[in-house]
Amino acid sequence: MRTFPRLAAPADVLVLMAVLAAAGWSWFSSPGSDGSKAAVYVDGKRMAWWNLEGPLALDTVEGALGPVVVEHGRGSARILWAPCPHHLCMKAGSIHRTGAELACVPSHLVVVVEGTDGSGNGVDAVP
Amino acid sequence: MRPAFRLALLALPLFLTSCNSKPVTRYWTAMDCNFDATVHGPGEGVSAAKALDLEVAESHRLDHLFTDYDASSPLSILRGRKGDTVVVGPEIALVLRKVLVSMRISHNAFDPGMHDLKQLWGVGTEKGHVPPQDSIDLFLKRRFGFLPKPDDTLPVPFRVLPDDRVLLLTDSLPIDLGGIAKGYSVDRLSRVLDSAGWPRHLIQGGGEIIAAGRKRSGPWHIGIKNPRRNDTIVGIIRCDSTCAVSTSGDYERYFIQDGIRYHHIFDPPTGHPALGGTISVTVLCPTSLDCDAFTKPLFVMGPARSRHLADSLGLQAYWIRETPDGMCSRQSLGWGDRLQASLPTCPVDW
Repeated sequence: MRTFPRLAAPADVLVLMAVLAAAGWSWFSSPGSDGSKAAVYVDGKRMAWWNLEGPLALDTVEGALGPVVVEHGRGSARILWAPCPHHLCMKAGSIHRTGAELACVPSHLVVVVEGTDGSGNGVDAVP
Repeated sequence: MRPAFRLALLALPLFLTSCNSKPVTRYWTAMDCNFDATVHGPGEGVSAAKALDLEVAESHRLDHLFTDYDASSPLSILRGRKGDTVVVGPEIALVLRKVLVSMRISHNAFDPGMHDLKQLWGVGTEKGHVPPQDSIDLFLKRRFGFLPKPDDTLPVPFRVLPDDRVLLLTDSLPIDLGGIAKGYSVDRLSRVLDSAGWPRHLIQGGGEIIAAGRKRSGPWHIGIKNPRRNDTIVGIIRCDSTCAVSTSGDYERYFIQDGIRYHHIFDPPTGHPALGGTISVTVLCPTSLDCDAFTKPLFVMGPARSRHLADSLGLQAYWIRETPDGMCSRQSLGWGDRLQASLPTCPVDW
């Protein structure tokens, strides 16, 4: 009867499982992996972020022209008020798709929906 | 433990760590729109953060170069007198040449001298309204020297001469390079990341996208926005290697008066927004500058004329129309299996 060489001892398998568990923990504990979030950037700096799975809530973020009011929760986010001259961002409605963005350009402020896998639900970007 | 297995076990964390090098994204505003850039590792030069710092700095340089709000900007030199020859830098000259190409091959569907007309309509501001026809006619006469008819060839506002010199053919005309300058800028930003050692990246700014190189996980996928539900998509474009995608739609800047949506994409000979039924055009090109030069003309011309233009230039274009029964779409030749779209095809006569 043909015999196959044994590749690893039971102890080796235990070590392997420990390494895989550590790698998995490292992956899932990295930023952006705890559910869909709305993040607010001002001049490229991340100023605030909220879990979108929570109830509706209002928050302010300081933009270049003053405070901007963001509504977030129930899976979406929108800009409720901004001190921009034409209020284009307020008219842009709400966003929920991963990768979707709202911008208040005069306030130098961008709201982005960041997802769990960073893949934008299979789409890298939408012009 | 066998040596081969031990070696594999030691190498495993290194492999897993490299898999965990997630893309890094930066969001910021410049050129009157929002930008974002994502770099995919591994990089071969400076850190991702440093590369993105360079990216933001370059966007602000380009903002100053192409802005038409600042009286001291390099572009303001084009507001001179008819007959003047002015010297612009090589970057502005390159974009102006592309403007002239766009004007001529689209047969009047694009004009860079619409700045004051857009102000007259106030599209994208709180004061958006349909202006009196007299005011529109006054603008058209000042811009073109006459009231254009549909088949008239419109005069170009300048000529680009050797050594980055520009001959002005109209008095005190504010030149609006808006869209095309953004296309050029996105291309420039892509080269900055290439030079910084991050050849796999995605940049978007003001409706322009360039996806460079190829991700480790496979091709890029660019969505086509639903013009009437902006947070959803109606199609996906697959890019196997570097590509640029640009979209122009009537949903970006508009106002509604008497039930009609008046948007920011103008039909130059009429002085009115192009209301031919097209509500969105998406174009796939090798460079963002090319995309930008053709997206708005393809919107204004409507599918019948612009499909011919797109096919003759080898551009891949996708039009969306709004009808009382909902949205439908048409597409140019050459997409192959790179475009997956969910909207029904429009009737042949559109």
